Amino acid sequence: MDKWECTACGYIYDPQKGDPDHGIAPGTAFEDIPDTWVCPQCGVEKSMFQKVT
Amino acid sequence: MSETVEIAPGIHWIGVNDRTTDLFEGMWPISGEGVSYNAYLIRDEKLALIDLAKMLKGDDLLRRINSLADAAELDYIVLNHMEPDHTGVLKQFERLAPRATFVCTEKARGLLESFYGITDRIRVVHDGETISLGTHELKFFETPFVHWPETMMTWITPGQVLFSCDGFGGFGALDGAIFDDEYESVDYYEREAQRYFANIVAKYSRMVLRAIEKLAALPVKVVAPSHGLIWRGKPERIIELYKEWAGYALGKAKPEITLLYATMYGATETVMNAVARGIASAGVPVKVFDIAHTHVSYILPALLSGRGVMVGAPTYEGQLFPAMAAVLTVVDAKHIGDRKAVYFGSYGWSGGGQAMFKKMAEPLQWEILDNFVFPGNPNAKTLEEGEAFGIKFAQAIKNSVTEGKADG
Repeated sequence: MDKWECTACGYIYDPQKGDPDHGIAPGTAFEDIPDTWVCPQCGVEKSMFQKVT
Repeated sequence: MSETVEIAPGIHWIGVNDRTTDLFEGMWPISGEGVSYNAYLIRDEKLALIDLAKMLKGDDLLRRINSLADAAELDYIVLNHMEPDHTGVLKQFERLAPRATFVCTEKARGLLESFYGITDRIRVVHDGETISLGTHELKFFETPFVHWPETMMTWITPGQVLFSCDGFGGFGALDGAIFDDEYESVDYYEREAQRYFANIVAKYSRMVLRAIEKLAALPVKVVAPSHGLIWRGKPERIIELYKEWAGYALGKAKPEITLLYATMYGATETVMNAVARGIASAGVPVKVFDIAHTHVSYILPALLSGRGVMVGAPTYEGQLFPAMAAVLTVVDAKHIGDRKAVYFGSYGWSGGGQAMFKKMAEPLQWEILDNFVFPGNPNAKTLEEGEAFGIKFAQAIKNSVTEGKADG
């Protein structure tokens, strides 16, 4: 599973860790996160993320 | 006298100063400095307004418009940014300007409804789209997250004025003159622009750099933000400054130290002076802030520009001194991350400050290089150790290399 980076603030979404504080269980692939989820660090929406290559 | 200034043929500054509001955004002190809400009116075959003002200044804004034209005749109201310091008067203007179309980005449309219940007479513009006013043409550039999702900038030709809204803005009401080239020195306004940047915009520094890159090829004779000076003499100056400040957030902070301290009865302060002496003797610039007496608004610019942070605060009932914790909470909200840090402080009967500092520094990705805690009041040995602690950290900052995380 790929890590994704917030292009606005640099936060890295790590699928192994998920974002349990906001209801995203560890092991959730970025693609499976609901569109209503936003960057936990700066609040931008999912579409502002890009895959870490 | 005229309350408006023609900044280029047909393009008028109709801005207002606010010396009444104490806290910008409800939290950043401007009692002494004030702030301007710069709005602009373009008189052509079509009549266009670029941004508005806070509700408090509605009458002043309307009087300025009506001194040049009839507000009821407005064809367009361009909304570069929906924050209520620019749009507070919008509900009134919906009525006062019944013919006007609201021009904004797609993202602003939802905010127009949620803030003002406005759902009609909206024209959504996209990147690079233009609107002709007759002789003048407006061109729109989406600049998301400078500093809200819906933000855009508007460029006009002829005149080549960039209406950049919050981008390139600053605190400080305008003292009569509105242009950079009308002041003997713009040091004060540059300092207030840096405070504004650190307080309002810095979290989205990447997006600032992206916006600057997007606008790089655009000929700009005047940078006309919605707060602070209008840059006519040296329009490139404020863009360069914003670029530099954004770089601080992205791995290009300077080898300088911000020393934040708080003290209950002087123990931590006494050691702070020894620490600061140590830093100075190592030849590293240091800025000292008593955080209990200095609002965090004035501290953030230093934290942003320097890559070293020293936090000196006592343990208070088993925890980090609450006033210091409050400062770090704001620093976390603004995410001034990726710094090298140390903690020092006095304790009475138990530690706790150090552990809590460690916890608070973690989400900020501050690398803690060292700690120095001592019981009660310092003695001669403590002071010697404090000075050595300062020297050691200063040398680490001097020798640290920037990581160059900026991605533009």
